This record gives sequence, C-alpha cells and structure tokens, in this order.
Amino acid sequence: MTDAPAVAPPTERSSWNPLRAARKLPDAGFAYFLLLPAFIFLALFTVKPLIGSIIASTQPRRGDGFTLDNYARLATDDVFLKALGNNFLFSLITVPVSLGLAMLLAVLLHQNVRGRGFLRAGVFAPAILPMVAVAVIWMYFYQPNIGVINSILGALGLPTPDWLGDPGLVLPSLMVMMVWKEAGFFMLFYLAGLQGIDPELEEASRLEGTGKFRHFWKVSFPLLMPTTLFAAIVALSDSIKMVDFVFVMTQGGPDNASNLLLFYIYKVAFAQHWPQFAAAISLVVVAVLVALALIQIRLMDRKIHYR
Amino acid sequence: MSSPIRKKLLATAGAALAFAVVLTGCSAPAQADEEVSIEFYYPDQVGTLGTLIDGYLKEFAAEHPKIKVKGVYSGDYDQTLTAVNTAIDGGKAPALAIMDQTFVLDLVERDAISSWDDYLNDDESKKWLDGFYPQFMKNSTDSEGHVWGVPFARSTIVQYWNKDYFTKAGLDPEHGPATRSELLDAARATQEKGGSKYGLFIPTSTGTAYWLYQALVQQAGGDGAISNADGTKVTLDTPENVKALEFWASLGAEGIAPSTEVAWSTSTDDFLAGQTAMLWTTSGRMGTIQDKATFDWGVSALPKDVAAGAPTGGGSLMLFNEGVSDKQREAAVTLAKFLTTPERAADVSVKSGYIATSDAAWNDPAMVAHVKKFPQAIAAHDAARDAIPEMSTLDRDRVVYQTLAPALQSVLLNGADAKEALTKAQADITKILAEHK
Amino acid sequence: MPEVLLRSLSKSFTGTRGDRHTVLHDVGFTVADGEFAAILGPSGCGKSTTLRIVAGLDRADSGELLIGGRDVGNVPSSERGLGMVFQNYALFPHLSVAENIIFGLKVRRVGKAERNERLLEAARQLQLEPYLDRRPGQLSGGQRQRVALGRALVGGSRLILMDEPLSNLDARLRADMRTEIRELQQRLGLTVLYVTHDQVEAMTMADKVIVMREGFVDQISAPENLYARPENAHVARFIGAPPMSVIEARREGDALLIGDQRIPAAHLFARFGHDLPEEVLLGIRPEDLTPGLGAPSRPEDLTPGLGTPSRPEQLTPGLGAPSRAENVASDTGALSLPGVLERQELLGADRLATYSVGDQNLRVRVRAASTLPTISQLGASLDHVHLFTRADQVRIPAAIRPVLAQAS
Repeated sequence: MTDAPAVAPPTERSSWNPLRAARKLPDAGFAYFLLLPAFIFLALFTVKPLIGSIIASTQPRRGDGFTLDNYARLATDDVFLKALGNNFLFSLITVPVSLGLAMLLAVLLHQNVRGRGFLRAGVFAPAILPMVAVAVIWMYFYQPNIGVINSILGALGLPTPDWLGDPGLVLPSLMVMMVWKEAGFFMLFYLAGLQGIDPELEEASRLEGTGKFRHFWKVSFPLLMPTTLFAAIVALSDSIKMVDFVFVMTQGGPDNASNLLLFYIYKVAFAQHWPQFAAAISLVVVAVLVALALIQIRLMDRKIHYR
Repeated sequence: MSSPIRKKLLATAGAALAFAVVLTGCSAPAQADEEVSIEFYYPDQVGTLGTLIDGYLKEFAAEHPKIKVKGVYSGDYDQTLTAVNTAIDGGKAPALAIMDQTFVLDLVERDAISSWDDYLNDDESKKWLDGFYPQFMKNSTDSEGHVWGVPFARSTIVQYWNKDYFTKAGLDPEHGPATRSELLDAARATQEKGGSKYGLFIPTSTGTAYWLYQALVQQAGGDGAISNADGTKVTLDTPENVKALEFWASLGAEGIAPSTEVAWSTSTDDFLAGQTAMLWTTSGRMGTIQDKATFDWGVSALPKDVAAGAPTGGGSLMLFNEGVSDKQREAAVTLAKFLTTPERAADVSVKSGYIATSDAAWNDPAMVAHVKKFPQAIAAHDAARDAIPEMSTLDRDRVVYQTLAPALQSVLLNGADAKEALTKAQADITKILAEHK
Repeated sequence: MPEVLLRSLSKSFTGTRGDRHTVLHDVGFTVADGEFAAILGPSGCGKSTTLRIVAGLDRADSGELLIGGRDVGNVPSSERGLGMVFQNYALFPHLSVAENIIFGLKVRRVGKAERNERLLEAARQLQLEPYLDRRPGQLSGGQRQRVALGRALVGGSRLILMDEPLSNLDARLRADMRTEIRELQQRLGLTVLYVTHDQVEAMTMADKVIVMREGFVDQISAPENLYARPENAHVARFIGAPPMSVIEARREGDALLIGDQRIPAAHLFARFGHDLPEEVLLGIRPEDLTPGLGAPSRPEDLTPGLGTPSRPEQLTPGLGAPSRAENVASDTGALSLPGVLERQELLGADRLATYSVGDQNLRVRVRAASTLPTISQLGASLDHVHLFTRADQVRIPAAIRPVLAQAS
C-alpha cells in the first residue's frame, strides 16, 4: 500500500459499519434490521416451503396447469379418510389422557415424598427417549409370543392377544404407548405450573378445612388452566406429528387400522411419488391445526389469564 | 501489487477454472480414455448383500481403473426408491441402481429409466441377456419387448417345514406336502399329534400380503400375475380369486394359523421358535433358517392345488436418466454386466440365499459345491421353474399397498366377505389405473 | 372466648445438610380475649413460625397451645375457630371477590341465604360492596387486603391471625390500614394476633407487644412500656426510630468510664443502688439527650478546627435546646457527657447527630432548626438513663422507681 494517496484519510470509508449505519434508522427500523437474520431463515425455511406447498397442491400429478382435484380427492380418498379418523381418535384420547395423567403425577410428585427426585426422573425418562427407541421397546412389549405383556398375561392364564396384529387392538395399543411417552413430558410443565402457585393458597384452603381433592379441583386445577391449554396445544401437535412409531411398528397396518395422517402424507409424497396430493393433505392438516391452536389461544386469552 | 489488479487476476483465474470444469463435463465422448464417475445405489434387504457388493466394487475398480464407481447403500427397496426419487428431483440420479423389479412401470411412465435395448446390440450382450431365466425377465420386459431391468437378487416363495413335528405327527419328514389336501392334512396332524401350536403360517402383513396371495390365486387356477404386462389392468374378481382368499382366511378361522396378523418380519422367528409346523415365505430366508434352526427342517416349492406356482420377487439393475450422460450410462452397463456374470450370480446365491438367475450360474463350480453341501438349496431352483411374474401395476404403492393389501386384510383379520372385498378392490384399482390413461 | 395461651413452645427444623435448627425456644405468652397482640421482631426471629403454629399450619415439637381454654395441639386448623390474613393475601385469583370471601362458608356447607347475608355484612364492614364481582387481579393492594380480611372475618371467628398483612402496601396506605384494622378490631371486639417486623405497626395498633429475637421472647409488654422500659439491651437497640444508643461503660469509684473519659456519676449510682456491676451498658434515647455548651474535661484533646470547621460564635445553642440544656446542666438529676460532633443528618423536622464520647458513639436528636455545637456537654435526665448488665444484657432496675415506670 505504498502508493496509497496521502490526501484523504480513508478511515471514513473503511470503518463503514453496517450496524452503525443501521443505528441511524428509526427505532422500529433498527429493530427490524436486527430481526433480519431471523426473518431470512423464517422466509427460507418456513414461508418459502409453505408457498411451495400451496402451489404444488394446485398442480396435477403429471403435466402443468391449475387444478383443485387434489382437494376434491380428499373427500373420496378412503385411506385419507381412514387416517383422518384414526388420527382424530388417536388425538382425542391420547391428549386428554396424557394431560390428565401428567397432572396427577405432577400433583403427587410436587409433594415432599421420599425419593422425589428419583421418581420425577423416572417418570420423565420416556420423554427424553427418541420416539424410534420407544417404538422398538414397545414392539418388544407387544410381541405376541415372547413379548413382555403376553408373557405376563400367559403366566396368569389370561388370553394373549396380538396387540399390533389385531386391527381392533392396534390403535389402542399405540395410544397406550403414546400416553406413556407423553405423560412424563407434560408432568414437567405441570410441576412448573404448580410451583408458580403461591403455597399460601393451599394454606388458606386448609384453614377453611378444604379437603385435598376439593382444593385441587377448585383451586389448583383452574389455576393450572394456562399450563393445560399450552400443553394441550403441544400434545395435539405431537399426536399429529409424532408418527415415527408407525414406521417402526406397524407400517400403518393391518388393514390401515394404524394409518395416521403424517404417515399417509409420507407415503403419498415418497412411496407414491405424488407430492402434489401430499401437499394438499398437508395443508389441510396444517389448517386444522392452526384453527385448533387459535381457538385454544383465544380461550386462554378470554378465560384463563388471571394476573 | 495493488489490490485491484490482484482481484482481477483472481477473478480471471476463477472463471478459467469454472470454464475448464464445464469443458471436461461436456467433452466426455471425445476421448475414450477419459475417466468417468458414476453413482450406484444398492439396497440390502437381507443384511449380507451390502458387504458382497462392496467386495464386487473393489474388484471392479481394479479391473476398470477408468470408471470410478461411488457405491451408495440406500436401505431397503422402499428407501431406495425414495432416495432415487429425491435424487431425480434434485437433477442428479444415480447412473445405476438395484431397484425392486415391480418399480419398473412407474419409473418408465415417469421417463426415469432407460431401456437396456440400446446396449444389447452385440451378440455377446444378447447372449448375456438370454442367459437369464425367462421367469426372472418377465417383470423387466414390457409388452413390446423392451428390457428395463436386469435380474440381480431374485427370490420366490417356498415352504419350510419342521421335520420334528412331521415325525411326531407320523408324517414323512423328508417330503413336504405336494398338494393342497396333503398341506391341510399335514397342518392338522402336526397340530393334533405333532404338538405344534399352529399348522401353517402364511404372512398377512401389508407389505407382502399381495405376494403370497398371488401364489394362492395361481394355485386356485386363476391368473396369479393378477396384473397385465403393462400394469394397466388387474383381475381380482374371478371365482379363483375368491376361492384363494377364502382358503387363506379359513386358516385363521380353523385355527391352523392365528386369526390376527401373521407378521412377515417375525414369522421366520416364530417358525424357528416352534410356533408353527410350516411356513410360507421367501427363499431368501433359507440362510437365516439354516443358521438358526435348532431342529431339522425341510424346504420345497409350494404345494399345488389346481395349478402350481408362486411369484418371483427381488431386485433388478436399472439405468437412470436424470443428469446421466451417455458416457456414464455406458459405464453403468459395464458395471451391470460385471455384477451379473454367472460366477457372481452364483456367489450372490451361495452367500445371500437369493436364487441363481441362470443355468450358467447353477452350473458354476461354486454353486455346484454349495448344493452338494446344502441340498435344500435346490428347492429354490425347482420353485423358480413354475414362477410367475410379481404383481406390478402403475401407481403400484396405491394399488398394491393402499388398496389391495387392506382389502385382503379386511377379509383375513376382520372377517369381511371375500367376494365383496375383492370386487371393491377391483373397482377401486380400476379407478386408480384409469387416472393413467 | 378466644383467649390464646402458648406455653413453652419449641420447634426445630432439619436443614438440607441434616443439621437441626432450633427456631423457637420455649415461647410462651397469652393473648386475652379482645386483645390486640403483636409479635414484633426482625426476619428469622420465629414470629411467623409462632403464628403458623397457632394457626395449625405447623406443629410445635413440644409445648402447649390453648385457644379459649381448649388444647388445640391436635386440632386441625379449620376447627380452631380462627381466621387468618396472609402476607400475600392468598386470594384465589380465579375467583371473584364474593367467591373468595365465601369460599370457606361453601366448604363448611353454610346455606346459600346465610352465605349471602354474611357476605354482605362483611362487604359492608369493609366497604367492599362495589367490588364483589371483580377478580383480585383488578383490585388495588388495599382492596385486596380488605378482601383477605373479609375472608378471615366472614366465618364468624373472633380470633384473627395476621401475618405481616401490610408489608406489601405503600407507606401511605399502610398508615390508613393501620387505623382501619385497629378500628375494626375494636368495633367487632376481635382477638388479634398480629405478626410484624415494623415497630410502628406494633406500637400504634397493639395492646400488647411480644418482642422476639432468634427464637426467644425478649419482652412482653404494652407498647409505651416497651419504649420506656426495655427489658434488655436487645429490645433497647430494636425499639425506637432511631433506637436507643447503648454504649459500654465501666464503673470506677464515683465515676463512669467511657473509653478514657471519666464522667462523674455519683448521683446515677445512688439511683441504681450499690450492688451495680462494674461492667455496664448505658442506654440513652437520642431524643432524651440535649446538647449543651460546655467545656471539655480535657481541652487539649478537643482542639477545635480539626473536625468540623465551626467558629465559636456558631456554637450558640439553637432555639429548641437552650432552656432544657440549661435546666439539665443545673439539675443534679442529670448526667452530663462530653461529646464531639462526628456527623449529622437531617430527618425532615428533626436532625440526628452522632457524638463521640470516649471511644463510643451516642446519637442525639434535636429539632432541625437547632445548631449543633462541635463540642458539647450532652445532658440526659437520670429518669431517661437506662442501665443493662454487660454480661447478659438485662435491664438493671433503678432502686428509686421513676414515676413513669409505675404506669405498667
């Protein structure tokens, strides 16, 4: 740099700093500037695929052009309707049962019982296992001949059903597994929720002679409502998006009895190589989920915020 | 040096480099000695194929130093299809892949694969292709005679039986049942006198139900292929179909088999654990059973009823189009021929349990020695003689897994009426196939 | 009648490392029917634990607890016939004011008509009528406080326990609520046991103050007595704002030795009798000391100009002090302590000065307008001089009883 001109000091230009320049923006503008990286990622990985899906869902399977056939097909596609029904049942049962059990466990383990930390860890353990691992474990539980459950039932002289092979039993069997996995996870939410309740409330109840159950029902339960609603949204979305176990355990069978929406979407998109129809199903599922979440959040705003 | 000049030089160098890359990419056909790289996807359904292919690829590299093969293990057949589809969507398919033979029709419809015809012009190549058993070529050849796949890892359905149960039941343990009535007698006898919990397992899982069903339809005197050669039509509503399905359902109803799902994946374990006296499953399980059985066992072709036969199964080598140059395709053909010589077909058969695909392979010294040591192996050869094509249609996943399998299961597991279920499946499948005209 | 009697209650907790902490040592006192008793002490003194034991939320390890003559050691909270106001009010945030108040009545299955009647009565007493349908979150601190009171009162209990109920309110509201609670207690004839760390609350509201420290009861007496006759040096150092200055002194012949300052104190010793121990603690309230002009006993030690730059003419006593100062100076019933002004701070109407006497410090409170001499003879009437033993910090009673003390 020996021939660099000595006249104008280059510091002005070379020290140009985008942050400093952006600081001259009004506050809101600067805030957007700082959020820009997040927006870029959101746009690239959420908005763009979403738009891509919307466009794809209006394309025919072969060739170009605009069509709504993919959506029309939903009403007559037996497997979709079956998966929808299965998923509806699956969510309808696993979400409340998981949350109820989680609440019960949380209330029990919120108290000062001996070995509380150990018990909490034990109950929470399934939540940190990958779903695939859970599926493999439960496949061993459910195995009709040498499985843990049937070994016990057999030893007791009880009937030993084929849990995953019987179209009538496979979905309930998967629900039990899902509850096992989810309850511990949501227990953690409830433990946090219970810790947020002033212990004076419990004492105030005791002073009036309120029984433990009544106190729970009249005080703790309503105060846990925000936790419940939040957990319900998470549980509902889990019950739709966590389908690893279908791949591992049943492949949706027998007789589509364990076919769930996301598994079907995967099948349509990849095995049938029909991304347009898969996009249409996905969008409908997303729309339903968003609608449910909105209803829940609205409820939360209306009724459940006390502070 | 002042920085603008340096930048300019760098830019020029970069452009030149990029240009050179483009040039080498395009100028391939000009020189025969040019190195060429190809990708080769291979699945492994049985756990022994992967190592085997790795070994072959090393030998190939030594023999063909100008062809660089990047072997990609791609899971099972379904995962391989997914991987290939993704690669196609990304604009860069593998030059060669082992695909389930039933994927041919869908791939042809999407113009994803090339016919082998262009590479079979010389006599040597024609001889190579003609060497394969015709049964194994059926799924790879269309109605106009174009060849889309070369058999690699092939199988068919055979019956295995537990000789201990046969002996206890007073049956001849050295010969499996050869007819339907012998089959039923043997099943009942092993249950009643032999001490077996079940008589016969015919797996009913979603993934394979259609395959075993094909054998039953063929034996009932129907068309076991179910689909036509172009995959545009199926036949499911004939009396033979109904008879075949009703027979299958009767196994569960009469307690010869469980009335719940007989899982494909665990049925071999159940057989090995003595749960059933007989099992119908792929010839590819022979190795596993040989390794793990704690009792004497036999294997043979399926017993006949009105007719004999069972479908073939397994994978074929296919040539992909997307982003593959002619030069690369030629290299892929070279690799395919290398992988399917009789010696290697024999080697695959001996080491993995797949069926050797030609007489030349069966006559290979290694194969002959194997059969001598392990006489059961010949059962696969016999079974393959009466083999029929595997059911294959357009939109195969929807037709076979999404429509036919549940229809079969609704009868087998839920007690639905066979005729009604098949009639509905026929209609549903006809509707799906109509979308492809 | 809800008379509360505590007899040598003790309690200890096991800490996280398995060590025992004794939080109550032999605590005993009575609260008469209709009396307002305050337990006063710094945090950690055991006052809340004592209250919780009375409420039945905690159990004592030993000792007796009687309410209205009945031993309630094994009686559940709800059957002890008491109401309680919690520090954070413990209102149920999801219930309306009305529902909060009648929560206990519902639990006790009181009929709907009676419930309403009692609710309205409580609401009227506490001026809560306009807020019955609101949620606690929509109320101010003072209103929440009233709701908590309402819930404690509505059950008809005449014994009310309060655990620092005003600590979450701002200063102005606190003053209002003090009056309000006291009035309510008087009007309804309630027996109140009130826990606080704020001596102003205890002094202004209570008929009886129980001062606690580190699990012990230091003193039980009427508020005025607490101020005038602290039973020990701890109470002396705790009560008053600012509290009493308590300094170490030694008796040497007829003089009191503070550091190396000799102070003639024959008249003081005469007042307390001859069996006075040699080592004592001398306590004087800042407001009982009057700074007057006076020569230091050893002028060479007190060269002016070293500390504060004050000129002699400014040493003229201010308006408030002189007459008293002169009185004290000429009064044989006064103790005169030579002090040097160390620092002073303005407290609005008053001024608080710190004088060093020997090696100790004494605080002096004068009117804000007063001018403080740098060197001063600090005078205190003997009536206002408190002596405690150095060994166990106990008050040494005067041989001639001061007139004021007979009030107790």
